[in-house]
Amino acid sequence: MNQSIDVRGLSCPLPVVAVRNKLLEMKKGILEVLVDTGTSKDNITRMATNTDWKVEIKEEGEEYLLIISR
Amino acid sequence: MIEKLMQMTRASGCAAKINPKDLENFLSKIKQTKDKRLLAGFEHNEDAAVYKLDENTGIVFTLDLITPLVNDPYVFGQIAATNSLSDVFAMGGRPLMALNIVCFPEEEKKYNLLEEILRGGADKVAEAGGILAGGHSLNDKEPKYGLAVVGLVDPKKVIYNNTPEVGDFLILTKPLGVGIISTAIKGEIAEKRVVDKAVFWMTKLNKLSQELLELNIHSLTDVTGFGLVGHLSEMLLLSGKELGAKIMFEDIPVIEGVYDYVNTGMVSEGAMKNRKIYSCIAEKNINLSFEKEIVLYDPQTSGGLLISIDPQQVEKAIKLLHQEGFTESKIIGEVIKSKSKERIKIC
Repeated sequence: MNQSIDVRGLSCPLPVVAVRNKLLEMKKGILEVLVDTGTSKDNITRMATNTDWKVEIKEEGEEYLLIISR
Repeated sequence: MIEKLMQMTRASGCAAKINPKDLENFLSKIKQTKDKRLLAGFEHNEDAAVYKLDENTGIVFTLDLITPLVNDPYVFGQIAATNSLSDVFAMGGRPLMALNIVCFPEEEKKYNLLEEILRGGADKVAEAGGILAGGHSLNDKEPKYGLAVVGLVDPKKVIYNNTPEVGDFLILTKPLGVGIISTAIKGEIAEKRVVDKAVFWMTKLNKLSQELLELNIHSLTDVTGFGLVGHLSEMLLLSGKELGAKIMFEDIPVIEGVYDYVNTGMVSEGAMKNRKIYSCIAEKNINLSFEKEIVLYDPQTSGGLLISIDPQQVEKAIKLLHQEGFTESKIIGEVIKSKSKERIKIC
């Protein structure tokens, strides 16, 4: 089952830290992340791709859904 | 207890600035008083205001206030004060006296934190040769601290932020990256050796010796919230002349370890805002990866001085800067003639 995490409303760098901790714990699988700023979306994408996770980005209005998988 | 300081804040340090474009918009609606005694005011985003009292005496006046960007309250106090005092030094002035301005959550009763913040500030004012003469406090959810500073300057020797000349060399006196490092501190992934480096530079006063100030420095500013490219673009665009700059990326001092933090996602909202606003002025002539490029837009708190100096005197300036403890001072580029929209060429 996919895991999910909502980091909307958190200020930088807490969203990327939360996602990083979750990915470290998961090691593999799929994590869906709900983000509400472009900076957090970019930071999470950079951190995840740099640690060999694949990131798919879906824009939903002002928000983003990131599907992170390995 | 110490751990709390960064958790009590949203954006850190100078990354908490208001978007420069929005600022420009609403400031333009505020009536500005013209007075021939006001040598520096609103018009070219100067570091501090300068008022000419008589032929030989000018007053430099500035105010700066920031949110915590490290957890240690004494160190935060030192950084905030160094950052506030810097605006006086960036005009070629000397601080006379300062007043504290502090916001702190009363409910939490953590007055030992507040006491440490103020002690750090007082120590820096004393080191700068100024007198701390009072202050003002406010009950606020988020801690903030800074100083209002009054300094003295010879009106004939004010160094403006928008008066570089073609052929000048550009010197940066402190390494970049403190914004990214403070984001990493907040994210609790920053290593001690990197934090120590950042703290060392953020608590180093931008005080230059008289000998250095007597050199032919054409223009001077401190690199703070708008990042290197932001402040350099102000220097060039607000000159009212057709001026550009060529900067050599590999010569720009950057704190070691910063690129790793960018790759871990430690880029502040402020850096992204700066990049969005200023990147149209910068032309990349080399292949710059994101982690390198973003450092040019990283908001600096208590950042170094950006000096535009006569090329004949640049060697002497670098030698003196190194003697005065600015051991990472580098010539990062030169001022060129340019009409292009992309005034800054990154090579």
